[in-house]
Amino acid sequence: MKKENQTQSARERILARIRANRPKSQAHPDVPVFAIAGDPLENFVSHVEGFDGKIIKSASREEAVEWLKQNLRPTADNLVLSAVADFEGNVNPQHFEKPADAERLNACVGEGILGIGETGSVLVAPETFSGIANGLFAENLYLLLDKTKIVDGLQNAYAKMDLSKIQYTSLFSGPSATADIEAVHITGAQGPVSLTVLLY
Amino acid sequence: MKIGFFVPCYIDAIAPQAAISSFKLLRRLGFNPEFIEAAACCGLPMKDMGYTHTACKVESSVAAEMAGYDYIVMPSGICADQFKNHFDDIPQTPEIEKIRHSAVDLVTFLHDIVKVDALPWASFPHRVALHNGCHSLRYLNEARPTELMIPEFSKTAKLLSLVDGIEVGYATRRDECCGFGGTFAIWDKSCSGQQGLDKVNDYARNGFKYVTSQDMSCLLHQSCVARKFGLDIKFYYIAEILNGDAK
Amino acid sequence: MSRQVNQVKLGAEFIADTPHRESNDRCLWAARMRRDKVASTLPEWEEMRDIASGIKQHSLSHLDKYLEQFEANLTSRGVKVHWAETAADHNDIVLDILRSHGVASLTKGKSMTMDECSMREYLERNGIEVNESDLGERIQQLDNQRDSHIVMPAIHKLRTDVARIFAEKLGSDPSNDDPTYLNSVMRADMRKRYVKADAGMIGCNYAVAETGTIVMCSNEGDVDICATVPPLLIVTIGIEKVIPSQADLPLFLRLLSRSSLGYDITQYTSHISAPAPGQEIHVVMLDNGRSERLGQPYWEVLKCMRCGTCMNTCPVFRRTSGISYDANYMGPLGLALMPSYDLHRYARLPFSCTHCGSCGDVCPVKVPLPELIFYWREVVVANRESLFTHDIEEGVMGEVLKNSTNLQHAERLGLWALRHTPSAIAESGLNPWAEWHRNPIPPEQTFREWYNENKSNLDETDQ
Repeated sequence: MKKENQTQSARERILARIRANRPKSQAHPDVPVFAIAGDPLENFVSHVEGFDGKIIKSASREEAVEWLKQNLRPTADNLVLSAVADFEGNVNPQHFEKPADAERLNACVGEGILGIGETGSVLVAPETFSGIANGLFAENLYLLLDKTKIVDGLQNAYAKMDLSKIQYTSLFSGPSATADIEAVHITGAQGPVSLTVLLY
Repeated sequence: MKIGFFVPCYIDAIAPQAAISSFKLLRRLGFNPEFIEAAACCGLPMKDMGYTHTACKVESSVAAEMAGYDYIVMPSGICADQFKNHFDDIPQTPEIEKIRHSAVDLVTFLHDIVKVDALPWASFPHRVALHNGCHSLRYLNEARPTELMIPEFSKTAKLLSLVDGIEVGYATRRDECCGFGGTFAIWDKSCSGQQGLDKVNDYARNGFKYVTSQDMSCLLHQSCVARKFGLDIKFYYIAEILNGDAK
Repeated sequence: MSRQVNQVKLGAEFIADTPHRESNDRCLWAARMRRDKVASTLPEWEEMRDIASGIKQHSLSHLDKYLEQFEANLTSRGVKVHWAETAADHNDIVLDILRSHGVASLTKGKSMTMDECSMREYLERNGIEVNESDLGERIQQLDNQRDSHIVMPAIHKLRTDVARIFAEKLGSDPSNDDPTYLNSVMRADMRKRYVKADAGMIGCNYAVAETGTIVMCSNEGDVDICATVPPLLIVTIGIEKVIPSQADLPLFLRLLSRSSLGYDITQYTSHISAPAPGQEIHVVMLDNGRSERLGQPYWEVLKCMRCGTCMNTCPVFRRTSGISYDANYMGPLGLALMPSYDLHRYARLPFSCTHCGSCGDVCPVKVPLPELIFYWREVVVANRESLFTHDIEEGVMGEVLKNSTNLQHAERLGLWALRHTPSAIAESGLNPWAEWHRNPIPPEQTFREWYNENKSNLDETDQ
């Protein structure tokens, strides 16, 4: 309880100092929505590929799911978790005791919420992967995305979001990567080693 | 138009040709520049080291000698920057404000005020690397720094383009600082030296035999490094080329 | 009194090490070139810098209001918000939370704000196993060395250095220095640590007041793992990180990674507004001098969003490496900020600058870095922080330069010396200039001498 009081008064002292020291009030500038050059779908594809992601284009969702069936064959040595209804994996996340159990996943399939042409980002949430840890630990990530859900730019994407209503969301832009050793770009740092976006 | 001519201390003593060519060029363009003999130093070295108190004394005494001109032209971007942008610790009297307004680097004067469009006497049939000194580039806006996403322009290159036969180019790292930095060259001699060496090696890799700049302090530093490391490169202050003195 | 950092001396050691210097310079210059390339594709780039600077100025001038809003939003969703006045308070609060949850081991994302508190060392001294999860930061942890860059902590190292460190500390193959291999060693080692971690700790790039959202930008995926996998999450946030609204966020994101590394966005741009089911989140708001800085002439340094682009462009930083600054914030940002933490210790830093001005031009939020560096030089001198024997020096300079008569005497003396001193002496080790330069070739006459000789017949000299 003593600690509680201490940080409570720390809060008051910090805020008091801010009020005493803050610079003269400055107006918030207008922020225009800037136009993004080019076609959002084409921009999206080139940016995903620029981030070492793969793009699979399908004429329909069924075709995209069919591609998954052909290419992701779940076996005892290939643990696939699917969070979409029309493709079945061989791992049930209900059986996980804790999020870190996702560490052994070979693949995870989910449905992106929206895509961004400007950056090649796909918006995801915990529900996308039946738990966000699955989307972070799986070796290979597969994201289905309805191409009509691709917006021009970051500003357009945030206009469609309400961050006050989310628990966690993330923009995934390609698989995880690092350039921390001599700036050598390496795809596949600590999250997924590959990211495939299946556009339909 | 009454033109004063300010000669920075380092140019007077070490690189007088920069001032002589500038002075002659101004006369050739029809001006009658008046050498401000009593003016000593703009205060930059003191300002540079944070010696504000002494800088103010030096600034006040130089200002006393500089009144009454429409423009005070100087063959030195670093000093023009000092007059224009850093004379702010001394009282801002109307005289000081006038000096801050009228002090001008040679390149800005030729390009913006005289709007020189021909230099029929100037010929320099060589490939020359143009080094825009950092102060002229970023504080006097004489060219676009590569990091600013604004339309391309270069007052220095435009003036040089009036010279017959010249081919202007750049080092690969076009406006990387050469490391002079005034007192920095002594304070941090290793970094200054390494920057200078990297700069002159960049010219050499690109096959440049000649380098020009609107900033003689950069050129003095670069030329002394180039000689130390045995590189055969000639360095000319821009007025030496514009006035046809560089051969 | 704290020991003064001699950046010049440490920098000279790095400069003398050619392979390291060349690698550091090449990597960072490449980042600057990528930045130029991506920025040039956006016609609104300079306008965005103005707006971003304006939003930060607005936020800082209403900081109390936005902090309260941010706190209220997070609290309403069950996040516990703590306030730390100092680095020590911060560390106490964190240790208290960890102990009350019985935490033995944690994974931690890269955070300059936690580093500012020397938190890792503090927790380790108190028996907590801290595993840095960012590759560069982990390399520095294992090597027991400060970060050399706020975004690329081990960029001054060569792959051979990393191979040696990983072999010693993680048992990898000492003869294999392929970065891909070294990354895979890190990946495998960290996986074990994520699985056993009792807690995760992260920093924060933006704190959105309107929505009560913690925004993290990262590339490796490690930050998100730290933030979502263990049952307990602690987030440290410098109080200046708050921005007003969700609509402001994409503007900053459009500038951040493009400035920092020259890519359109970071691989992970993540938002947390509430704990996940079964998760507990604590946020520690850190002051540590920020509320005082707000009232100082250099307050605009608080606009900084830690992208590191000023370091990438700085010609001194690229050649001397961030290690030479021996500071939590290095490069131009360090020059403008560190003296406010400890004026004596960092009194020399503001002088490690040629005033080329490039840092001010690349800064995405327009922190006036060159002006702030000048400002600190004045403060250092005014506080009589011993640098040179600067009283004497300032006195001599003032006398020599106060009028043209004195200056002419000095010039004549200097030129006489230049003309008559044998080069064996003039260019010996006694002359600091001579290590990298030949002396200038003395002219036959000064401008003044030329002018006096010719002033009566200037028309004849015109040809």
